[in-house]
Amino acid sequence: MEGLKTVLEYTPLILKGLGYTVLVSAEAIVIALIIGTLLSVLRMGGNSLPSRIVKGIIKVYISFVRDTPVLVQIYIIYQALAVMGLNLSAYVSGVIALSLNSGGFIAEIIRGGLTAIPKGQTEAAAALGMSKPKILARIVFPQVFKIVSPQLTSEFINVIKVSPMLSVLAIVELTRTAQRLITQTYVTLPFYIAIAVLYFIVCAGLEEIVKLQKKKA
Amino acid sequence: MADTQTPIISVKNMAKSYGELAVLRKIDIDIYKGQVVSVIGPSGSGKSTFLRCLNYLEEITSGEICIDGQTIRGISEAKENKKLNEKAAREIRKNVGMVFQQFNLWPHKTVLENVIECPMQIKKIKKEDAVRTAMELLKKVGMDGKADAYPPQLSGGQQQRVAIARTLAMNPEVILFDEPTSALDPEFVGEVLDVMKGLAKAGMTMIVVTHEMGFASEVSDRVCFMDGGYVIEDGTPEEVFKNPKSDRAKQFFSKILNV
Ligand SMILES: Nc1ncnc2c1ncn2[C@@H]1O[C@H](COP(=O)(O)OP(=O)(O)OP(=O)(O)O)[C@@H](O)[C@H]1O
Ligand SMILES: [Mg+2]
Repeated sequence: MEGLKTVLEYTPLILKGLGYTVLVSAEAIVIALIIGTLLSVLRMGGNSLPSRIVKGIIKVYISFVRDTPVLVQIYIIYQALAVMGLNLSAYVSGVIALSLNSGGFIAEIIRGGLTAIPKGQTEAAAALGMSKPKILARIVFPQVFKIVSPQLTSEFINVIKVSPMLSVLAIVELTRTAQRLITQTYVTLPFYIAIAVLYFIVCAGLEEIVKLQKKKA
Repeated sequence: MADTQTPIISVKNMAKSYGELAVLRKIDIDIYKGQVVSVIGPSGSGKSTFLRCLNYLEEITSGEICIDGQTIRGISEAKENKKLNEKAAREIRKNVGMVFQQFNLWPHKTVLENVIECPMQIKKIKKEDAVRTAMELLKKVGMDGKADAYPPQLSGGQQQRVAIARTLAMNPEVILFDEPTSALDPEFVGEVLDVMKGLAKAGMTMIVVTHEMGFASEVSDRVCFMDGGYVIEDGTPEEVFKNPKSDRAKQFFSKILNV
């Protein structure tokens, strides 16, 4: 009870941390969607040497993103951006790291969705005179995003769930906020339970919103 | 009836292979405005491939196709042909529509949206005008009552009639049909053939790959029999069906007539 009271006392700070978590995740998700879509478009290239090279690089990139720890990726991006002389804040580096990570996963998800679009549909569009970019934008991707929306939702939730790792860059998101308050107040478990509940509300809420959208469509 | 001055489509010496497999060996054919040409022949003889080459859904290996002053050339003949072909194909596709065996409507768009999509996106026609034209066309194919339905809710025959309306919306000079009734349950074949007969009567230039010998003999001005990558019979339905010159055609007709 004491613990709960302490937690409630710090509600404004906790909500501020939550705000950062939501903001970081939302930005990363939007950028990751763009990256994932671009990568999957680039992977459609034919068999010419340049497009084979591009596809090879993308493949390595995606394997790297999938098969190394996110925490290590965050450190690498942060350091690499600094080495490259880009004077970016920890926040921006963090968003970039999450986006690059998630973008790789989203490219794979979209690739799966692309296989579900029958070739005849794009042929019909081409035969009617639609350009390739138009076909992707008007015929292919609207359907692909609908098909993969469950996987995309899980990926979005995943971004929210790995966002605490950004605390290593001293970004005061929800988990970092809780840790700070814990060292200040010596109250531990209630804070962790509180933020767990908040993460749950955000993630489950996102899932519900997507479900509702789907029903409407 | 047909204008026999300049062909609307002229194919010269066209060949098409997939790697080692020569599908079309040497095709020479001229098609004139207003002609309805049925293309028949055994499975695997290259009928679909021929049709798909005409609007560059497939590259041709050698020879050339001229449509409306645009030329598609064999890609084995010059390196730059690919680029030039793509440019020519963009123009050709404006005038040549295609109707597929599997209809290929876009399932995420309503019937009306399927029909107005290309006029609005490609020809930049205003929505109200596109909708008006689309509704007229849907009426013509008997589908105006289903304008707000989604393709998966329709029967095959209904989907194919919408696909024809979608093609007509781009106001093509020629329509290519690749077995438009082969994927249909028998009870829906008639309604699609009726629409096609209407188009033929209205003077549309049509190339129809079909197994419907009734349609081929009643509606078309001209029947081409393909086998082994060649057009080996080309004449009026009378000539081709009643007096085929080749043994291959005779065999083919005796087989399908026995069924
Ligand atoms: N993309 C492709 N790659 C390799 N071979 C192909 C390809 N498309 C068609 N073929 C081959 O080309 C030949 C001709 O095919 P096509 O589809 O043109 O025949 P068709 O006359 O339309 O037959 P059907 O009456 O069965 O539709 C076939 O042997 C087929 O296997
Ligand atoms: Mg075929």
